[in-house]
Amino acid sequence: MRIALKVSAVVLATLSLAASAQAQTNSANITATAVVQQPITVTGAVQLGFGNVFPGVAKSVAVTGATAGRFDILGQASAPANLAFTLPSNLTSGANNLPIGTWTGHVNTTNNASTGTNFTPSASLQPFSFSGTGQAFAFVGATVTPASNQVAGTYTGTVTLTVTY
Amino acid sequence: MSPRFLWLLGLLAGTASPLSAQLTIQGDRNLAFGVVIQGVAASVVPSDPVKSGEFEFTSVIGKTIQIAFTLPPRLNGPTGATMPIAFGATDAIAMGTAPSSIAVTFDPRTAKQFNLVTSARILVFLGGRVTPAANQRTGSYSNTVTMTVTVF
Amino acid sequence: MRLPLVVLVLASLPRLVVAQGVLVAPHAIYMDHRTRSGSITLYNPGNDPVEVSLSTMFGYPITDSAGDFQLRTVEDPDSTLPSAAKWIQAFPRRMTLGPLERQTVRLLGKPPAGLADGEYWARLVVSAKGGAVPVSGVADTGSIQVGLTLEVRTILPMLYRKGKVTTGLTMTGLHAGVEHDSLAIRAHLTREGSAAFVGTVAGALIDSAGHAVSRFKVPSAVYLETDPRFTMPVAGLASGPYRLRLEITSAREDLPSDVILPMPPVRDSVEVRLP
Repeated sequence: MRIALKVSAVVLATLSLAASAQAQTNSANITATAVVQQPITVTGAVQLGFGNVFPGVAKSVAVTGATAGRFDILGQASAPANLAFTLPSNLTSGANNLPIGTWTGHVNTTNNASTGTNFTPSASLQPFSFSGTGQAFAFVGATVTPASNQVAGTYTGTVTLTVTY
Repeated sequence: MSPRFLWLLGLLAGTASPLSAQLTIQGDRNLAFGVVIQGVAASVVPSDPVKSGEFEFTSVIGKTIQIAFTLPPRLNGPTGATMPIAFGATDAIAMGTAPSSIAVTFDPRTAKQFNLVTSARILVFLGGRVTPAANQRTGSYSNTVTMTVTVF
Repeated sequence: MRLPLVVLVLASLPRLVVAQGVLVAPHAIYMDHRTRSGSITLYNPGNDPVEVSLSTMFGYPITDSAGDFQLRTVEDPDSTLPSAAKWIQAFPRRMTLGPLERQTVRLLGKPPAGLADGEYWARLVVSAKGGAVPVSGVADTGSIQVGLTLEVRTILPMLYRKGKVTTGLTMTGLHAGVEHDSLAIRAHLTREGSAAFVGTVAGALIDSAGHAVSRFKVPSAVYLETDPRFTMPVAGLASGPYRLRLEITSAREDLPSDVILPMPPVRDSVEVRLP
């Protein structure tokens, strides 16, 4: 029994020494995962701006004008799609109306209002195709026709672009 | 050799195993970014209870341990596509399981040493950030994150 | 004293990037009867909050006489049309997304009992409206100021599948003609099987030496039948005979492979003469 205890003490001491002398290393893995999806983005990028508006003086903004409205559309490369507009015929300020009309449109695969396709914005679907990099740009222009006795105020309205994919 | 001595050696052999295995470690949950969108970077914080990666290890109170990660620079996707993944200075949290344990935020990009004072079982959470390109190929991406723990 | 500053600010507004809109992913939503659920991710890439609302409608793509893609919508589809519009719901349906904020929207299918195996269609309408657009105009010019709010709507396909579904395609009447600097290609495509064909149309113009001198590749979908028009550039090509090869496959890089229904490639070719 005494011999056995002596041997066990030696073994224990040896094991303890081994444990403390050697750093122990261990590893485990997990996986980092993600699923990439392609989006479609329709952004009202630039406001259709009329600048100064005077009573009795109609003012137009052409699609090529510096203040034309612009929507940026991102989707799948080369995919066909459609756009349609819901447009106001009047801007309103309380009970007062300011006529807006003669809407013009242009759609292009680059941010250029001259080299694409002209169209008349309306509820009818206007076909277009995304560029090889999945881009499209829609430009809108219009004319506001304030009456000579147009009541002063802030006239607002909503332009809605619908993109069907 | 007496039977009693042999029994004692057997007992010692039995105790030798936990002594040498002062460290158990496992990965509990993947770091899951879920759906990410082309062109939109996405982050997972280490405190996210669902998406953060999670490891756990068990050692011995009183020990000094070191946690080191092997972090991939990118995730691998379909037909050889890759997507960058990055980790920041606060993307890892180590937390003991004892009631008095305090969570410690650290940088997973560099090895970090801890003294195990109150907890033998430690949970380690990992966040990160992926940056899909605007034309990133759609599909599933993955890569391995390794956590290595060293007990001194 | 404050007026000059106001005028300066307003005058600079027209070219401001207002960036009202929302990013929606994925661009096509597939749901399965086993889980009866799906999801989309919305993201506001702009600097202002965006009000988002979601609704469903029934519609499927067709082509007009010019071969352009159109959406045929049916407000109250009868039982002959595989509509899921009435029983797929989005949660939440209204939300405000802060700048650079994401939101996952759950889609839940609640089909009628005894729904037959097959594929059912709907369209998800995602409307995004930003806050008030800054009013343009200059305050000292008769005090008529004009402001237009921009609202954008995105209409995406949703396809709900129950049981085993198949798709196929037949192509007839392939023909082509030169229009300006392009070759315009038309064909009649009729879907087979029980599910919409979603794939890719690829064309190649082969010269007499067997070389492809022009190509195009476009994603395409045929829910019932279509007469699409494709174009490929031919400017600068020598006059003479060529062969146009058209191949339609179910391959789509933008969609998860598990939602793509396999289909044997459909091929046809026709001789064309460039002037």
